[in-house]
Amino acid sequence: MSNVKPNIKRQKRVCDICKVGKPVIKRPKTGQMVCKECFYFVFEEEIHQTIIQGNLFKENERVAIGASGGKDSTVLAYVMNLLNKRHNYHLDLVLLSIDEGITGYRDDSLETVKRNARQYNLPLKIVSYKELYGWSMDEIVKEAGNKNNCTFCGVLRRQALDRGAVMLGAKHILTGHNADDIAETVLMNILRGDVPRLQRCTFITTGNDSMIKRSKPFKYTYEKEIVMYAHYKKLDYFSTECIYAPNAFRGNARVFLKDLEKVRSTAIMDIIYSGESYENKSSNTLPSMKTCERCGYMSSNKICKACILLEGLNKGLPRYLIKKKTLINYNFLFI
Amino acid sequence: MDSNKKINCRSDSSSEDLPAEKKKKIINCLKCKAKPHNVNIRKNYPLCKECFLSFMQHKFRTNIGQAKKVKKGVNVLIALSGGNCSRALLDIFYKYHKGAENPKSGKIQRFKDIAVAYIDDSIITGESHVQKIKEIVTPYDIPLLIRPIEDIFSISLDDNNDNYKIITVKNKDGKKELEISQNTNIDNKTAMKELYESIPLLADKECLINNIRLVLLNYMAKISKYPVLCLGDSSTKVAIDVISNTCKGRGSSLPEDIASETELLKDVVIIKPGKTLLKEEFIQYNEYFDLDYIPEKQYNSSEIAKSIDLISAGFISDLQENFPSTVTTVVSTANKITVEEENYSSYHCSLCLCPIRKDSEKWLASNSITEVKDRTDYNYDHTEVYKNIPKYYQYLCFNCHILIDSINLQENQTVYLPYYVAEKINKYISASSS
Ligand SMILES: [Zn+2]
Ligand SMILES: [Zn+2]
Ligand SMILES: [Zn+2]
Ligand SMILES: [Zn+2]
Repeated sequence: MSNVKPNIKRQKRVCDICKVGKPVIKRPKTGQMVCKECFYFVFEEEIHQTIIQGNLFKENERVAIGASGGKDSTVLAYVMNLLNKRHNYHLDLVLLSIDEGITGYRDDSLETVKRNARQYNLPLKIVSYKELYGWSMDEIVKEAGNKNNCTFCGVLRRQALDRGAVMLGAKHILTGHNADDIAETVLMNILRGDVPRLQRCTFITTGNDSMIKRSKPFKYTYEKEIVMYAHYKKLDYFSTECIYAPNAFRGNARVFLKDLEKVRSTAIMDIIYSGESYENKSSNTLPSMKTCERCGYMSSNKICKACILLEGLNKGLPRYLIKKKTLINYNFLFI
Repeated sequence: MDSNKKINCRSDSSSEDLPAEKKKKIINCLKCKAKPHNVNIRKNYPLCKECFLSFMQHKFRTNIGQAKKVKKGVNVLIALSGGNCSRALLDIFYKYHKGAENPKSGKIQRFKDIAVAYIDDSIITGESHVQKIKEIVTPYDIPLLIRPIEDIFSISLDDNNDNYKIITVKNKDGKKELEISQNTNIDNKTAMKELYESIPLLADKECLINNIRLVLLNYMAKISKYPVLCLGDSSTKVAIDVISNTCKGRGSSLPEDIASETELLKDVVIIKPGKTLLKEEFIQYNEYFDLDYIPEKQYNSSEIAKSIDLISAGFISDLQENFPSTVTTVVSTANKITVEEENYSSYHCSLCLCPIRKDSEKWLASNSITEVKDRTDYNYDHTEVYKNIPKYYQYLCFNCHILIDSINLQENQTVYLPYYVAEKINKYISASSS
């Protein structure tokens, strides 16, 4: 805005951490201007701290990294591989990828995942909707229309990841959910009135030892920093968003978050802090895990969500859902 | 429940599915089924004028009736900002009170005396509404208590304390510090203005003003022997607060902040009997009775962009427009939130008087690395960063850390915090040393 003075200041500015390097990024979490080398250090080591403080792993555990080829999961695979060696976690890391069957989107991103597997020397397992459910996402959209497809896809992916992990002999899945995603989910759950999900969405790990656990090592990592990290490290990721756009409701929350961040860059952390206050331990362990009567897969209901959805699909989904005026019936499908 | 479906059911098909003739038909009042409807603020609940007014009174009465901590026959202090909601609520409360006083109605008088409290914040806004407030309250012929907001600097929340101390906020070696010292006869007006102006961001100014306004109102109720303080919050306001407080890191006290009934100061119960009514309903009420109120301040977009409260208000009102049950859903969600008591300190925040989460002091430091001694050493001790945590964090809740952190002092400048804050901190220090 103003002319000469700040310019001179900026030229002289050095990294707030090492006081030597040239600052390349202003960290939204701390407000510090840091150089590339310091950024790598704090980025990686904050994730390590999150892992240590969250007591995430057991030694020799086989851990599946949910890999989509996108920036979050690519950086996750890279950093997990790095930290596993650096801090001797002794983890047996594997990549697990879901092929939803979305032409043009998934084909290319799967190629990225395959390259990542070779680059990081990690085993890769790909499971497809088509082979698991008999339906590809393209076929589902064709049948069900363009509404709610994120919901359907979310439900199916969740179970597909679980099944893939079982195939791999892993009882722990890591996902690339970052701080921005979690903040957004806190808000969404408040707006949707989903109290149980609100009470557990900020947990770093959900599930327990008797089932498949899911953890979010990026819980306190900003999306912006993940992008910067991937950029500076020249990581090989697939940058196109899913062609099936998210619903408008989530879109609203996203715009709102961006406006908030302009007021205060720590807003995302502040929301996560608030979200942690709403946590309730009893909502982590789902009441009495059963097995689905139809597919034999673990479920909190008699019939699992995926089977309900597939039943709808097989019967002709659009009519099925619109007929039910109370969408409460499928509210639980939201992840 | 009902609310859940509305939000999800936002599917664009719902209105298309309605048969065309259904839309055109004149809709009668859902309650009396006799008269055509006049208002349909809740979209699925069309009412005629009479039924609408009795609906509002009924909601109000239910809320008053559900206040368990409120004893019969006590005095109530009604906080009035002069805005739409508190203005209408005063009228509803007054009529309820008069009705209850009427022996013919066969009811036991619920309250003894009612009065109105107004906080004059003209020192900050530069705009005085005192005259207008007097005009609003005079026709009711009940006492009106007015206090300027800067009075916060000279009140004591402790009954037997005459040892006036003050807190100075200053920079020492580049770090912010709070220092307790003997009161040097500060001028309340100057202190208030300087504190307010030392906070750069509107979002943080809002926090400060909300906090001290509430403390001052509670204080007024306490010293004037009103054991009940009635706030004029609508459900719309509560929903905005839920979002706004969540975004400001104030979630740790959400149950207190939005409770229908709560105690911030001993011996004063805060109630919100308008909490189940929408702001639009209060506006409609004022319109029906031709009641005068202080219009909402209009903000331009650059002002809105600096305020978490205003951004949240816009967010909620946009959603409410498209999904008319947004507000009720958010409020009922928040009502169900309970916090785990074991996670909280027995000591409350010195500034806002709300509970402090035990991990709040170290939370930010434990999730970030701001110092690196040697970039090649991965066996560093992360707990070292805890040494840099400001000392005042232990007396404050997470949200108030942000507030005090944001105070921006010029070189050698100092600002003061209200006396009651010093009182609370002193109590904390003596409790933790013994
Ligand atoms: Zn550096
Ligand atoms: Zn099943
Ligand atoms: Zn009627
Ligand atoms: Zn506080």
